[in-house]
Amino acid sequence: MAIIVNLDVMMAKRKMSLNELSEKVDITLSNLSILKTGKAKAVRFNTLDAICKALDCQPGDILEFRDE
Amino acid sequence: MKTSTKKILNVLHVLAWICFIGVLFEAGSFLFNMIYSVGFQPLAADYFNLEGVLALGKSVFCFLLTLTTVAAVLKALAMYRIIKIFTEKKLNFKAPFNKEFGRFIFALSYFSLAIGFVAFLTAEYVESIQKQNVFVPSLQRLRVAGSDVWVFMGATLYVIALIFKRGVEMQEESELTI
Repeated sequence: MAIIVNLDVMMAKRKMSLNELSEKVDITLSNLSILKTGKAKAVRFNTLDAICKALDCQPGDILEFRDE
Repeated sequence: MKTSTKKILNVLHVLAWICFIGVLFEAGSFLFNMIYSVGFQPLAADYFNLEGVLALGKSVFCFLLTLTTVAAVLKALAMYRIIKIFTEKKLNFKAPFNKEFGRFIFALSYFSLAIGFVAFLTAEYVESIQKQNVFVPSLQRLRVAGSDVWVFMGATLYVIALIFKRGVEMQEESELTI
């Protein structure tokens, strides 16, 4: 897919672990892992909102379009 | 899952086993009758009232009983798929749209269509034998009646399987929405 999820990059920048983010955004580890590995088919706006709040970033910092 | 649904499924499981054993016996009796009548005792053909057909020719008799055996084996295979779904507990009411169950409905539709096709062939063959003034028992006695019903069931199941396939895709999408 042409949409790349850069969640791991943002987590590294904010020095936040997957466990910590999972607690902050109230999403299970397995679901966060699906999102991080790019296996997710869709992201809800409220999930994106919670992640952006927790990582103090913009949606564009997490999602990227790369033409393949 | 509701207790009543559980009970109905348990009853269906037992019924599926009974039908499976029944059609296995049916297939076995056709096969045994064919081998025994042709190889050892021609009078055994009387069991299915097929002595006239045997007198017409061994190949005609064998072909007719092969068709009925194939229909019975196909029915047994369809029953086996139903039993397998119950014993392997693939029927998940929390997430019913899974790939395994989709494949099961497709398989059942193929089996139904195949049984319908074999039943139709048998009916046509029986008709051609009857034209030679030879007595052939009814299709009910040969357990191959209702080819149109089998084909209709197969076609209906195929359409349901296609809709189910879309349901599986939608459930997968929903599961992968974070």
